[in-house]
Amino acid sequence: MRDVAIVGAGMVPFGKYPEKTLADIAWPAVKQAVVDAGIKKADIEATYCGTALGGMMAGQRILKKLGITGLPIINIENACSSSSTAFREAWIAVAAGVYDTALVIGVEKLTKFGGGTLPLEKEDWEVSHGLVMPALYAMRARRYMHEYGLTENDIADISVKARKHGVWNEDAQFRKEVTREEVLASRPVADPLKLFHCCPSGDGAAAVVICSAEKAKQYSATPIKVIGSEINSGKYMTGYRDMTSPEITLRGAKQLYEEAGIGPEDVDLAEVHDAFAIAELLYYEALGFCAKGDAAKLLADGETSVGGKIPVNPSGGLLSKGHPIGSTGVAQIVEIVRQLRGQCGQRQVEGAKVGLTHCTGGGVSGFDHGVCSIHLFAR
Amino acid sequence: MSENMSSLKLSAEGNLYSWSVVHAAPKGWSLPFVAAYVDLPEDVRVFSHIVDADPDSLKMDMPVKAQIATLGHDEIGAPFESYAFTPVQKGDS
Repeated sequence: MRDVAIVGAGMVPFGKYPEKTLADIAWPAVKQAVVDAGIKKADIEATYCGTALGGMMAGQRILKKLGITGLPIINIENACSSSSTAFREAWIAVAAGVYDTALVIGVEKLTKFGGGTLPLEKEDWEVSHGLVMPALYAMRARRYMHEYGLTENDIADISVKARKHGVWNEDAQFRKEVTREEVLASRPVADPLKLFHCCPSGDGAAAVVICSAEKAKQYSATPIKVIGSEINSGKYMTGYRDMTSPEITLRGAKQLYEEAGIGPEDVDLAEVHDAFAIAELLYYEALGFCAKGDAAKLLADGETSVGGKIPVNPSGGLLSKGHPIGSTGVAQIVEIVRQLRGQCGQRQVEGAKVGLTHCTGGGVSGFDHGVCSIHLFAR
Repeated sequence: MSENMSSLKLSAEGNLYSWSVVHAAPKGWSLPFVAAYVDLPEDVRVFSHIVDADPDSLKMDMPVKAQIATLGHDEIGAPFESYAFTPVQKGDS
């Protein structure tokens, strides 16, 4: 396998675009990535497009708007990890030498469902009995509170941090700070989670251009190297499972650090899957940023805010930047690319050299999560 | 990898692993409802609703028992009945 780098990145501000088609939401993000890379359209050898609910042939619908057709276009569904999976597939193809260049797209239009909780597969047993994603995370939260003394204030403070970072990101869906009191006073969704503990529903798209490391310099003065790529499915269990310990993330992070030859202490910043505020706390521990039970302290000490030891979700994360689910994986990568290039203004993590993205997808009975994909990048 | 399935009779009583009072769900569910995971002695965790209980009275790991309840309604308004759980009261056996 040869080294691979990202040479172009783009995204559209996440938000609500009910009047636009999926293709019209996405093509400006793709154009931005292609222009950023300075790559000729004809030099893009393949495209991998991730969308969970965007319907058939999303990649073709988007790329015909830009005249990028006739190349292999592979559309990928893997729930909220759809585009992180697409990125990994593109990475494999370029690393293996099948292609020298590839385009990766993540896109979703959730406003077509008219709001509410994410539509899950009704033939799933738990879904057929009323499971919704906020309830799943709420039950994790309640168990963690019980076992580790976590308080409602601790969980609310994740949302406060996310919104604070989002103010500095012009691509974020929410750009207004909230206080702990406002989070706790927002309407209940799935007790103990309130509305402001939950990522918003919305639309968006993000794209990156990757190529072999040897070709990267011809496109970018600051290519961002992919130094680790990992994907796993969850382990199916019918019985007891510790819901305070996200097994798929723990397992994936361990594999990834070994593969990359670095440890969590070498990571300068991370974009993690904070679909609900409790999740970010669980992931601090699972990704090795702190010991089990210490997540709330890491947050309270400011270590995961911009300026801290390991800033997490400087983009605002899913809670503030938004979570048009299929676009999230690539949007996280776009943020890491911009951070490692030093392009992030007020939310810039100074001197960042190594960044991590972590994207899960769930909603199937018997799994902690159905899928988790983690990547490491370096400048 | 056998294709021969067999039935396993599960205990009707188990312990409440976690729960949430749910206020947002697709049409058909009577909101709010209490979603829960219950651990049964056969090392099986089941998801369902907690019924006939004040949510404030629920405790981690408390014993609960199964009963049949109407959990919601389908697209044409017919009741959806399935198993649910309720706290074991003192004196129950």
